[in-house]
Amino acid sequence: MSREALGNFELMVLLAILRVGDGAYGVPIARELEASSGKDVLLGSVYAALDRLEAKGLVACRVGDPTPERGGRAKKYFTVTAKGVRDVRDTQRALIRLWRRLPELRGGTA
Amino acid sequence: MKAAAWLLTRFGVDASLIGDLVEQHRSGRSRLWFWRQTVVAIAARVAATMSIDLAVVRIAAVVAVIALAESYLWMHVFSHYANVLYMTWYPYSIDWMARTSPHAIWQIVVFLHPWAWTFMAGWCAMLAVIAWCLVRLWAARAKLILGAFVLSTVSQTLPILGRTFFDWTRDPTNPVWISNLVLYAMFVLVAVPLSIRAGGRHAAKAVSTLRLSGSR
Repeated sequence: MSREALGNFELMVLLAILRVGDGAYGVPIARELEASSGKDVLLGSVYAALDRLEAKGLVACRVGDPTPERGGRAKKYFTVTAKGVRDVRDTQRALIRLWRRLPELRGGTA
Repeated sequence: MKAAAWLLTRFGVDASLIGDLVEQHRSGRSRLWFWRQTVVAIAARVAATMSIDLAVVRIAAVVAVIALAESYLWMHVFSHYANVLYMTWYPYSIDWMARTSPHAIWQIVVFLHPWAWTFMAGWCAMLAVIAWCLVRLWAARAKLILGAFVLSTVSQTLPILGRTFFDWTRDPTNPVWISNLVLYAMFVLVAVPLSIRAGGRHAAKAVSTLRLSGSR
C-alpha cells in the first residue's frame, strides 16, 4: 500500500468507478455512490476526490466529445489505474485484518 | 440556471463537472438541487486553490527567513573571513596603483570602490551555495524558491538605494551618489540575481541527472 492511506470517501469513489466500468464519468459514479450509501452525493465532492486520486496516480481520465444535453461540455471518463487497483486490494486486506480482531463487530451484530 | 453556470465558470470549476450538473438538471433535478451543487462545487474549488496558495506562501516565507538569516550571518560572521582575504590583496595593489597608474585610471579605480569587491564576491558565493541547497531540497519548487530568494535579498538592500537618493538630494554635484548607484546596480541588480540563479540552475541540473540515472 502507498504511504498515503486512502480516505473513506476516496476508497468509495474508487470502488464506484470499478463497479461502473466503462463510461464512468461524474453522474454514474455519483449515482453508484448514492445507491450504495443511501445518501445524497454532491458532485463537487466527487470531483474533488477524483482530483486527489488523479494526483496520486490512482485514477486516469480521458475527455469525451462535447454533447448538446450538457450545454456543449465534454464528459470526463475515469478509470482506475493498476496502482489504484493495488491500493484498493491492500486497503481491503488491511480492513479485513482489523475486522477479524474485533469479534463484537462480527456478523454486523454490534 | 444560467447564473449558476456562469458563476461556476467564473470560479474556474471543471467544465466536465458543470456539464454533469447541466445534464442532471435537464433530466429532472430541481433548481434547488442545482444551486446546492453549485455552492459546494465553488467551495471545493476555492478550498483547493487556497491550499495551493498556502503552500506557496509557506515556501516563500521560509526562503525569506533564510535570506534574512543569511544576510545577518554574512554581516556579522563570514565578513570577518572576507576581510582576511581582502587584506591579502587590497593594501598592496592599491598602493602600487596609486604610485604607478595615470591619474585618469586612478580616478576610475577610486570611483569603482575595488575594496568592496571581495565582500561582494564572498556574499554572492554564499548566496549561490544557499540557492543550490534550497533547490536540492525542494526541486519541484525551484522557480518559486529562486524568485523569493532574489526578492528577499534585493529588498533588504533597498535602504542603500535610499541613502544614495539622500546623497543626491543633498549634493547632486558630488559624484559619490553616482558611484554608489553604479555599484548598487552592478552588485545587487546583476551579480546577486545571477549568483542565485547560477546556484539554483546547477542544483536543478544535478537533480534532473539523478532522476534520469534513477529511472534507467
